[in-house]
Amino acid sequence: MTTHSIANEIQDSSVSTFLRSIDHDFIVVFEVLHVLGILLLLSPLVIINLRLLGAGLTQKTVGQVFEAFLPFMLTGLIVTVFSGTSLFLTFPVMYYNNPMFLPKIGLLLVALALQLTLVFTVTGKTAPSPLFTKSAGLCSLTIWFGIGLAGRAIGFV
Amino acid sequence: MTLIEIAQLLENSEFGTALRESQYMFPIVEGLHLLGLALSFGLIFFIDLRLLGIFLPEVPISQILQQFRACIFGGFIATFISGVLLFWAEAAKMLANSGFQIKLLLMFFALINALLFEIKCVRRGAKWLDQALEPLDIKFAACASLILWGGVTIFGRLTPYMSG
Repeated sequence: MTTHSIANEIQDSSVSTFLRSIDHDFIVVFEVLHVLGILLLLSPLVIINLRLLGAGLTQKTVGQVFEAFLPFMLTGLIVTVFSGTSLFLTFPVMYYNNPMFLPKIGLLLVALALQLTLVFTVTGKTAPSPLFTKSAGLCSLTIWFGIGLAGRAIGFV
Repeated sequence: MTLIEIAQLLENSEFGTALRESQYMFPIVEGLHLLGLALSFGLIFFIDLRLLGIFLPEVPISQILQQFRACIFGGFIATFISGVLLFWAEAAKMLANSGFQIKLLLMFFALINALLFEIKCVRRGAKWLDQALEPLDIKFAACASLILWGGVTIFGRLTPYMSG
């Protein structure tokens, strides 16, 4: 079974059919939630990565900053994934065929894995090398912003 | 010359047309508009929560304001410039859009609120800002900021779905 036929199967599923049958205004609510979720996820990531770069909340350690923002990031991630999945389910084949969709999802998985590894490596060490933390911070910020760009481009390509 | 005529001139200009029809530039500018928001409204959201005393209460207000000032301004510049470019490409269409009109109005009040906060609160200095119990003026400004910038973001996203 090819991935394309899986997208077709999903499109014919009852959830997908139901989402297409409801009023379009509800779908717009998912679009708004998607942006609000992204902001709730991305802004703490900016703050954490700035802290990795040695700027921002310098009175706190990287671990403390991560801990303080974790509930917001998790909420943001859940809202973003939920609204994003709902949007995807309305027209799975259209999204699958969009040249920016798969790169975005790929980047998202890389970013999540990198961010988790990074935070646990840095917070696990008592004195992580400044060069390591700074380059890691810069790298993960670039990927997260890349996802944002690719995601926004979906609507236009 | 009326406002709508100026908007039509902008939209029909060589630059406006090129931007609107560009395969890559338009989505990139849209993306930058969103990412700028993560720096501007996103950071303001957390600072507002701190001003209300419900997030990171152990970090002094004067310090958190100073630590993120450059970032927020940078984010605003990115959001503003990309916003102006997006407007340029579809000026007449945007002016007639009720979602965009509400967004502009909310943005105007949000900027006034930020200016008043700067004049009435920040200028009073660190000692006043860092009182054990956040003064009411600060809490009011934070509430207004959350509602207004939240509204700006929501109506911004709704704009393409609201015609007329």
